[in-house]
Amino acid sequence: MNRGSPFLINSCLAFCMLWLPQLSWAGERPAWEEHLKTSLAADFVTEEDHLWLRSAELMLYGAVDHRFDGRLTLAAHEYQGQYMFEVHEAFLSSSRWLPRGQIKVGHFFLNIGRLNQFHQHDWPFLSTPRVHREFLDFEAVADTGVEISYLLPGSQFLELTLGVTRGYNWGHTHTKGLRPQMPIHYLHPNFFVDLGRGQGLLLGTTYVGHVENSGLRRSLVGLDATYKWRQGRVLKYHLQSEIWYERINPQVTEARERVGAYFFPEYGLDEQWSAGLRLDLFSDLSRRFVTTGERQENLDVTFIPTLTFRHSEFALFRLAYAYDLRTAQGESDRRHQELQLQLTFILGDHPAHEF
Amino acid sequence: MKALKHRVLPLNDLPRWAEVSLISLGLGLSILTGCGGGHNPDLAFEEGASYKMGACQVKEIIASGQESRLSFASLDSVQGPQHSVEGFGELLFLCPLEQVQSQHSFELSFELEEGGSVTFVSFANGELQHGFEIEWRRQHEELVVQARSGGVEQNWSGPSWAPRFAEGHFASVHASKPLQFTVDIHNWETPAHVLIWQGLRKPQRQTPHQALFNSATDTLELKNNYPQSSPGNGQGRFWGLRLDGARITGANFGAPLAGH
Repeated sequence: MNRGSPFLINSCLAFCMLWLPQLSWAGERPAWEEHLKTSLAADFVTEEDHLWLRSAELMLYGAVDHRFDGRLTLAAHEYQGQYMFEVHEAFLSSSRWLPRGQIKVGHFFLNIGRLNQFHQHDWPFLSTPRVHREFLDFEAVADTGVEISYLLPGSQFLELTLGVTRGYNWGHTHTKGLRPQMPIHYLHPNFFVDLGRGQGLLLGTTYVGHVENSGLRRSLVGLDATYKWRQGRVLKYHLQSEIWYERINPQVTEARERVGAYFFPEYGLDEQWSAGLRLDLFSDLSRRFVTTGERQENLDVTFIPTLTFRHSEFALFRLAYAYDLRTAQGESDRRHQELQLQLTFILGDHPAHEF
Repeated sequence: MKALKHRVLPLNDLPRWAEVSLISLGLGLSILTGCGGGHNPDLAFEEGASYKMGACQVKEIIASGQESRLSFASLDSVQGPQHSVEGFGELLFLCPLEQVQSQHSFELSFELEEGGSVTFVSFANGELQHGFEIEWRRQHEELVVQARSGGVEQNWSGPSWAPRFAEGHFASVHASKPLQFTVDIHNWETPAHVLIWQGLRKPQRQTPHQALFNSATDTLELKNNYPQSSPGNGQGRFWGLRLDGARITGANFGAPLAGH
């Protein structure tokens, strides 16, 4: 994501501090202001044996007028010892223009896969899955453009999402980027199955295409699956998984292919406690020995058992242990293990996710 | 804890999806035994690759019909076998990088003749092509530093709009003296994010604030008005050096100093 600037952070904070309190003043307010909601979230994690603020998020959302809803999300991340606010989302959306559909215009997290649609503090686990970090970003790929979701007629829930965004950048960057030869375009159909008795299964498949200014072609194909079985107030069983395949063709060298996946089954012990085990898999299919050109087998695996305590809907604590193992033909295995802690709290009206 | 214990699910009551997950986990564990070990031709001793710098064997790249113009010499080093190399030519380091979209730190020690240069090539193919290059060239006492990738070139030693670096970020470096740099290349960012520190890696984690040059912040302040913070990205997993009237006394690589 692009960094913000001190001027932006100061302007936004001053705007919020001076303007928001006026909502509580006595007197009549415009009708649209009645629907404005605010939400703040702070996410702390441990890294290298110390606790740090991974992100602080301020979200403003609500009805703009009788047709449009709007959202503005600012998030602060640490960079070079300072916290810099940047715009994560700023978009207009409407479900009142297109029957059975929704249009979104502006800057937003791309509706691809499963995890890319959620802010990091909303994830069911602590760290970024390897495949998500390698193919997308630490948190999510966001860009400016237009996205349309359409619910197909019929008794089954089948929704198609189509998006086109500027594509000046992809993933983590410190620059505004250059005009691409082909913007980012993606298709993400979703199929929801109501299994009854509180069970639901959401299946999705994603295609993403992009051609950078340099001519580098990027193609991603993914499958995502989310299963939930809620018994009363307890999310008893939860399974979330994504599999991704990436092909990058720089034009000047041979194409590169990589594949990765994560699987996260979780069991709800009661309303507050849950335990899960995430498995990350990743492999570079194009890795070759330089002297012979033969393919070098490789597979990276990470096991992360996770224990979550939800004190309430607005505060949670999470403990995880990550065991990372990297193997490659002809090389010594590399291991890394780390104990991780997370603290997340939310103030205000945080919007609920659909599933 | 007592209440928690009573609610642990008995194994024979696992739903089907959990049973499948556990089986998959077991298969995954068995896969682990199939990748490590085995023969690695890149690390095997071969004729022409008997020299070692840092932890890597090096191999001279010689074009067909050409002769070697590099000379190798042994250095007295308490860290084990070490060589210096000088002259004109290209060296490939037989320690491939983790993957194309990754980040690493490199330590380089060298001396330049008048008009001489060292080009550090990273994330390139096995012939040091299509990589991300940084060239240090000596012009009397001044050091000219240029970055190149994908046909795009940027002069990083030029004057800057920032008052502190009006004369250039490398103005304080004396090109006629032995030079040491630690270079972070974050090739997983677009375009590659590069940080250059003077001196070799220190035990403490060095911050971007202490870098001589940080492409994320400094390139866009140069008076050349470049549109991007760096020329682009390397497209390979290999690295090496190109010498033109220079002497290399040390080269090594490891984990990046800066996080991102």
